[in-house]
Amino acid sequence: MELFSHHLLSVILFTPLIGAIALMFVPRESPMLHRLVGNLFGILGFVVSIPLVRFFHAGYEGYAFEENADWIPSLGARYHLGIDGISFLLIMLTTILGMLAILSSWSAIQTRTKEYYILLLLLQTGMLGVFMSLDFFLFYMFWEVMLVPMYFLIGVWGSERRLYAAIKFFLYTLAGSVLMLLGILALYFNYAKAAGVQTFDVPTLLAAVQNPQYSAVFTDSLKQWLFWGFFFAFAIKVPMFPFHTWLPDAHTEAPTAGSVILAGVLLKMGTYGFIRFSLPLLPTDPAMRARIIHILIVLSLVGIIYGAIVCLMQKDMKRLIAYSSVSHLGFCTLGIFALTPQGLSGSVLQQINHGISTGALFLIVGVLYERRHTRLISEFGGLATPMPNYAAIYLIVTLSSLGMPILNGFIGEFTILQGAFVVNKAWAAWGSLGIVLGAAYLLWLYQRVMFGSVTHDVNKNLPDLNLREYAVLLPLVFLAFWIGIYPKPFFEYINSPVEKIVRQVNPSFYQQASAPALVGAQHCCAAATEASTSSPGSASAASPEAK
Amino acid sequence: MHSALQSILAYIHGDGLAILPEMELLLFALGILIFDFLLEAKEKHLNAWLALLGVVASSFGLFQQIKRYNVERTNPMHAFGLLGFHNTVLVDGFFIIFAALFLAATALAILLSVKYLDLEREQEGEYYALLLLACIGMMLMASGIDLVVLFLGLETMALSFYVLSGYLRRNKRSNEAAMKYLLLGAFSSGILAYGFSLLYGVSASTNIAQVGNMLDRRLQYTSGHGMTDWLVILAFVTVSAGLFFKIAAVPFHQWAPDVYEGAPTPITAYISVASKTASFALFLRLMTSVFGGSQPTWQYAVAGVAIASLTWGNLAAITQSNIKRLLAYSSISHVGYILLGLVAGNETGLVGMIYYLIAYAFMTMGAFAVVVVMRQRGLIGDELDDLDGLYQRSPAAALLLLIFMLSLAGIPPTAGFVGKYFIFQSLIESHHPVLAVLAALYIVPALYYYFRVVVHAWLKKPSDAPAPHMTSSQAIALGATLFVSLAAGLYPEPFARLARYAFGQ
Amino acid sequence: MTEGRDEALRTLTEAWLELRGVAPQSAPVVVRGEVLRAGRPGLIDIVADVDGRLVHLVAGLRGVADEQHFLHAGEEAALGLLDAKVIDGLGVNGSAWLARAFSRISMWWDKWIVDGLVNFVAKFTRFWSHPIRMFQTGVFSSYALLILIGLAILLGYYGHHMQVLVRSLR
Repeated sequence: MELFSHHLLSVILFTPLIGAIALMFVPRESPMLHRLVGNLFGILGFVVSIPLVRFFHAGYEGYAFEENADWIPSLGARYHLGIDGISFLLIMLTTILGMLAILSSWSAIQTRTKEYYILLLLLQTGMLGVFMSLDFFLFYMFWEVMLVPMYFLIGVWGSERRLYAAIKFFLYTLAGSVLMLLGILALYFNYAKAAGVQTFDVPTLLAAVQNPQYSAVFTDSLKQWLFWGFFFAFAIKVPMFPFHTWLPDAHTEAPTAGSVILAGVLLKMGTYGFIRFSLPLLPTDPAMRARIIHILIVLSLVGIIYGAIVCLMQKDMKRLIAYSSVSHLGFCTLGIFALTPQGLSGSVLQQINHGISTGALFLIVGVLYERRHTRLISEFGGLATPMPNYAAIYLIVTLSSLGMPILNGFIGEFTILQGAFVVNKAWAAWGSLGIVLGAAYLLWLYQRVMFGSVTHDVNKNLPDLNLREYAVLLPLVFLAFWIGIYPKPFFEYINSPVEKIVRQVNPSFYQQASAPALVGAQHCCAAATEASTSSPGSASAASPEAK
Repeated sequence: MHSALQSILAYIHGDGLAILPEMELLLFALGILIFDFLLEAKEKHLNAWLALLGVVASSFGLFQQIKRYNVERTNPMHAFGLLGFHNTVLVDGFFIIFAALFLAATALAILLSVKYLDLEREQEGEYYALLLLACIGMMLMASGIDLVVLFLGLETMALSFYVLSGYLRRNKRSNEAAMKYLLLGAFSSGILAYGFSLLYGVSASTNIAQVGNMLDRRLQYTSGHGMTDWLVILAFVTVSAGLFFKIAAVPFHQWAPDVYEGAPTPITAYISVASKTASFALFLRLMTSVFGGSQPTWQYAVAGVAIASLTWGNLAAITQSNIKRLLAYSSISHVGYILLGLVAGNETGLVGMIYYLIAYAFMTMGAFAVVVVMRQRGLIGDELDDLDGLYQRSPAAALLLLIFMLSLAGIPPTAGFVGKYFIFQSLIESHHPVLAVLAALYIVPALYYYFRVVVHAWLKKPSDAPAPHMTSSQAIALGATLFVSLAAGLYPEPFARLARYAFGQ
Repeated sequence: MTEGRDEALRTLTEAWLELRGVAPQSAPVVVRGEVLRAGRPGLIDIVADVDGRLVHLVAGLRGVADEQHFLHAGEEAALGLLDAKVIDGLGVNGSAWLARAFSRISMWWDKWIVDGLVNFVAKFTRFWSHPIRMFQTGVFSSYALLILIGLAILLGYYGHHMQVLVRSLR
């Protein structure tokens, strides 16, 4: 029990790893046993993260559940874990999606099942480690570790061009990661020069970068270099235009569970990195900062619109959803670099939303792929007739993804646009174009696949969802409605760390607006909640000075 | 009789302590040669156990040296180590770490050779004797502080390797490898000897500390600092050319792919690991003791060679289809990384070089060990296509291969990553950002060809080749290399301390 | 039921053409499409293929003989044409067409330029593997030559360096 209460994060982190090691001892010839053990540890991984919900208090300043142990004293690297509101939500997303992804592979994967579940569990550990670690060395280790299982997941169980997609994913992400390593080392070295202490501790280093005492060492020019060093790793991961081309290949060729985890969690590692590491590295000089922000906002907007436009003429369902991820995460980065509380909190929430809705979308496509072994839109048509329940859930997921009020996407997109509108109305305008295009491709896809009469005879008798598929999809639907109708508890987790970040990174925001700006975030959410629960028509852009 | 024993013991505890491990190895080597006569054809593998015994005995000798060294360190007179063998050999932390590495590599090579030689039907005692003799040469290279002793050590090691690389007498490639190695080796040893003679000419002494002093004085008297004296320049260039040959740095590397491919695989592993490490030890000694004063000038040459090695090694490996050649080019690129640590020249850089060499030794040995395991009756097993479907034929071998490839590529949490970490850290600390970026970016193409190996082993359908079967000695060797490859990545602290110990900390 | 409807529409079209004095002699009338007007029950837009020309007419379902109704239908036909062809056609469908065109361009751009750059870097790197491997001729005297060339480069570099330093101190 002591282990549990004092080392909860380690328990959550290593449960999947223990599952992977346990699976190594299961004989190769019994796939059913592999499935059982894999799912057991997937569910267990979620179960051990539930105490976090119970004991993590929203509004807590700093990092909770910290664990800090010696690891490599001669380098200054420690085993330091800790979470704040943002990483808490991402960890819960990881454990839930991980459990559902493992469950969804039950009948999809028939060959080499042992390795499959081992790799999924290893991947789970890697992702959890990235969100939890507060030590740069540890963070980098987990960041790189999860590349290998993902490579194998795509390369072994993927579709026709899997080898190309897998190595492209690996090499592209690796190129960004090594530049990030150099950034980390430069940060470490300069801090040692400034304070005389060699450490990889994240809170210490990030506080030092922003500390005016050390501004002789951490000049704006250095901070700019560090920013760009870290930028590539996160931009490739998110993915931002023009570093996005690995994503469509990786998503299309990966197996369903691989795509779910890739879209649902892996992409969030990039945005998490931007929030946690890149924002403190922004130079304080307004001109330099404005230039950097400008570049990033432009890239985000291009990503939003470009990603959405390319979706319109895709023939492959998974490729379409992959590009839609580029578009949706463009919203998230828009929210981050608007540097306002609404933008940032909307971005975090939208990351969770994207994980839920795009994860669900990939599961939806996976259902069809399992039945027909094709992802081409032209192969389907009029499926609402043989699969009405599937049509209903698919519709809900589609609406969630495009940002319909009552569902989760609306809250996130609305808040982000609000945050961007405050800074620059043009940005919000371009962003809204992205929402329109989003509706276009998603609804058109839905229409082509589901509506009308059945176009191919082979689709006439497709079985509807079975129990396992319900079990996988319904939790996500439930979460979509929950966040859409009552996002307040989620925002409560986000507000405190967001406020802290904005205070440090963009203090002028609080100085220029009037006092209620402090509570602007909560009020914006209250407004958004009212807007969504009352009627869709009254969703006007509530300004931060409201009430 | 009694006094003879007494004088021998006195010598061993006195002047001879410095060469105790070498002496023990020599005894066992000669013993193997004699013992071999008494063995019948099918008992020849017993030589291997005798050789292992020799390695164990030598490590006891090394242990004695460690004990004495740790005591002597506190004495300011002998703070830099134990002098011996008429002041030509220095036993300090530097030597101890390298000697331990050589002995480990020798043990691993012996373990890997037993079944391999049986399959090649070349199981003879001379092989193991030559291995031990090569190890003696390496130890002299690491401990020598006299130009003559260093050269003798180098040549002892090299001559043993010339014979060992051609050991498969009926194999044309092996003969070719030996010829090329011998001729090119003789050529560059000649260049090296010329350089040594220049150094002697400058200082009228063969002790490298005295040579270093004379060079420093000479550089002070001639105008400016750094190498402005033709003699010093010529000496530096020829010495480093000779040593670059041995470590296989570009453009002195061309013997490596052919020799690595032709030599018997355990010897390839041994050359790749131990010969390279010994040559680095020699190089480091010379660069710090003799040419230490002109570091700001020669670092550019070393940086150029390092970048050339990185480029050449990584690019040429991409389209290789023979695993041994692929690993040869990959070790050329690793040499580039290690040399960058020397370019940085600061404490992190030097410690990083040693750490990298330790990690490199075990992970390369491990990778070659898997290739040795692939050698079965009727299958040579060193082409990439022979690896197809290894995950099914031998999951253990495939998993080990994956871990070694990841370690070679520098993916955490392996030893290779921590080694590269040290090199990058040293480059950033010494304000070489461009070199750091280049070195970091070269990880990407390197990963491509390491993963070609992984693709064949894990992602391709199995061919109908026989399933590789691991003997217990191969399994021990693989286990040891696997352990270090992972332990030095997950918990690098003790290994980092070992690397620091080499510099007296 | 469908055949009856088609028949009815064709009859309507032929009647309208007769009223207008156009007699489709060569080819039969083929009804290409028909849309039931939502807001005005009883009206129907018909697009027919008459002798290779597309004709759009508005007809009342109660029958062509109802001329008064038909005249109203004619006016509405003009407005309906505006609504159908300009606002709906150019504006809405046009922007959809524009979006799809942009999509095709963006897809091409993404596949060949952006992704092409990535693939180009990969192919470029792989390309250089071949010339570099050519250096490994297998003839060891060429290896020795390269060693000498390397020596010469190092000597030349330091020689030059020394010259520069010496000249600067003079």
